[in-house]
Amino acid sequence: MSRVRVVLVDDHRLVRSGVRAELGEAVEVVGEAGDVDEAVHVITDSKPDVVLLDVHMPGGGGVEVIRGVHAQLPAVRFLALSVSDAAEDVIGVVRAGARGYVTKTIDGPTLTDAIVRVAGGDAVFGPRLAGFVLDAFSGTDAAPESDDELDALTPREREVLRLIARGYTYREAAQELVLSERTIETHVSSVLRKLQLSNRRELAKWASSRRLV
Amino acid sequence: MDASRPTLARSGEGRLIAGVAMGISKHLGVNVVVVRVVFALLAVNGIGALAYLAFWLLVRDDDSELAKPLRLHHPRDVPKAILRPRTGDVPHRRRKLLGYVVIGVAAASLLGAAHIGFGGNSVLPLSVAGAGALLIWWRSPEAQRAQWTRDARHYTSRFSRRGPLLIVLGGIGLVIVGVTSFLAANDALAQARAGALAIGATLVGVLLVTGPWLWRLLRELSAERRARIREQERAEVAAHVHDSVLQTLTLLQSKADDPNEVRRLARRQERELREWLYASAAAPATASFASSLRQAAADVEDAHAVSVDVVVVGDAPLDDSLAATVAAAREGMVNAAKSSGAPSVSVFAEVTDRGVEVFVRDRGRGFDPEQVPADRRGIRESIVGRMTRNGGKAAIRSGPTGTEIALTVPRQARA
Repeated sequence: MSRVRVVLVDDHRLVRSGVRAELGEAVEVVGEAGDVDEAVHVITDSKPDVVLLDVHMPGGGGVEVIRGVHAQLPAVRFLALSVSDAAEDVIGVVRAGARGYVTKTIDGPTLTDAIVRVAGGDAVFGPRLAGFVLDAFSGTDAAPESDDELDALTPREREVLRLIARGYTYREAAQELVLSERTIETHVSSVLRKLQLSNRRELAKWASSRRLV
Repeated sequence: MDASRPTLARSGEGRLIAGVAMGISKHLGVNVVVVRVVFALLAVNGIGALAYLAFWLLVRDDDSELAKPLRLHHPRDVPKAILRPRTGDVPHRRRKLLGYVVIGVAAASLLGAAHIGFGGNSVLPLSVAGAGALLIWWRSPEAQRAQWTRDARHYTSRFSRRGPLLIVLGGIGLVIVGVTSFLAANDALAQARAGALAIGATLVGVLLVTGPWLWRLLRELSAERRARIREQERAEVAAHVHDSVLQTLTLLQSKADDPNEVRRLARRQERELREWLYASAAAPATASFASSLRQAAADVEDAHAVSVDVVVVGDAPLDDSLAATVAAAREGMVNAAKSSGAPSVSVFAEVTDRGVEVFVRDRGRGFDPEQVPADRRGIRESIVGRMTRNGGKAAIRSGPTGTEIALTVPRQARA
């Protein structure tokens, strides 16, 4: 299997070189960018498999990069990497099209693993994102009038998310629930789809508070 | 200038009307009664009243009560704002009331003596107009303006932003009603209409001439105000960055040889900055379960140089059993930090209508709960015992891949 081609987008050069040093053999960095325009340019030129994307950047942030690229290059996948704690930022960038969110405190091997997963079409949820999603989809009992399946998590999906929020890896979650790792991935991808397509009020509210779709 | 002599200012303390006489008496060192009598005597031919008015308008108000920010959050605050107590004790206020009565009687008899006698049905309209004027003039413009800039960021509800405006509009309304009914009562409405037409035309003319200039002045004023607020905010941010981030960076340089200490300082600074950036908007007034769990994690981070990642879903006000749960969770974090050897601890808590669950997990070397010596009170007493006493339970799972402590407690029935 060929190495995953990655572009790093972060406005801090120090962070980019730090991340580059952490990444393992399975990943090849083919480009770097420090702002939105540069990022769109570099990504269009190098057509990477995965873009590692900072949520906060001058000139619009990760959401703008995804907007600028997604239509032309739907095959390029995005993984958000940030220190931001604010739910609206995280939910906003995922709804714009990122396939996952990890915090910058993540260690090298886990990050490499996450990039490979995203390249393979999976969704990557860290504990924090799992917590935000559980929060956003909570109180489904209180809104029975919505029968859109996008607006609620299944009990299994909830269970998987709770394990991830507790700090479990996909493999550990699979062992815990006596499922295959593949099934866990399917559940997480399904949650990602709901997160991106649902019109739940909480999600729309978070997204619109920063005018992100 | 003589240092012992206070500058001429309308006194906030012991004022009867606007503090003019009191201010003059303080400034000149003369008994206030003398000043008042002089004003009253001069008032017989009108000069005293005019002089008083001139002082009122021209002399700075020294009322320290006015300097305090006044918050108008709700329409019911308006009467409070108008009647806000001036400095002075109850006897003084009684004396003040007496003063008003004397002034009122004097004014009425003066008017009577000057044969400007209106019908008895004029008293009510004139009082209404007077009350309206009082509403408009009550708070001096400079105090109002200072307060607006200061409070601009505190104003939250829609009313509070418009409160002062509403007071002025109400005052204007009262004046119009009062004057109109006074004119009607004296059968002068017809003449007044012609006069009003002339005045109105003049006013429109003046507005046309000076309008653009006035408009520019207003715009400049508001631009200046905005700039000042921005400047204040910038200064606040700069002060915060200096007190926190710059100090920590200096500390980091001097502690560069001690990786644990560096990590601890960095984590703490990160946490503080995050709190400052994101938490202010949603900061709850009372202690909540989520905030105290985060605080507990922060304390453990500081004390034991590990990173504790906290994810909380939902929140609830802190009651006894939740406080005990937080304490047990803290004990679990301390335990993980001290004996697991793992560099980080994950904490996940979920609050639902039915109950609260907390998971504390590390990826360090585990331990066998059965093998813990009886004298180690940490787990047995502080975690399991504490949860049991509060109607919850604690489960501990430990193995070669780490330890997880699960705490569950049902929510107490809401009253």
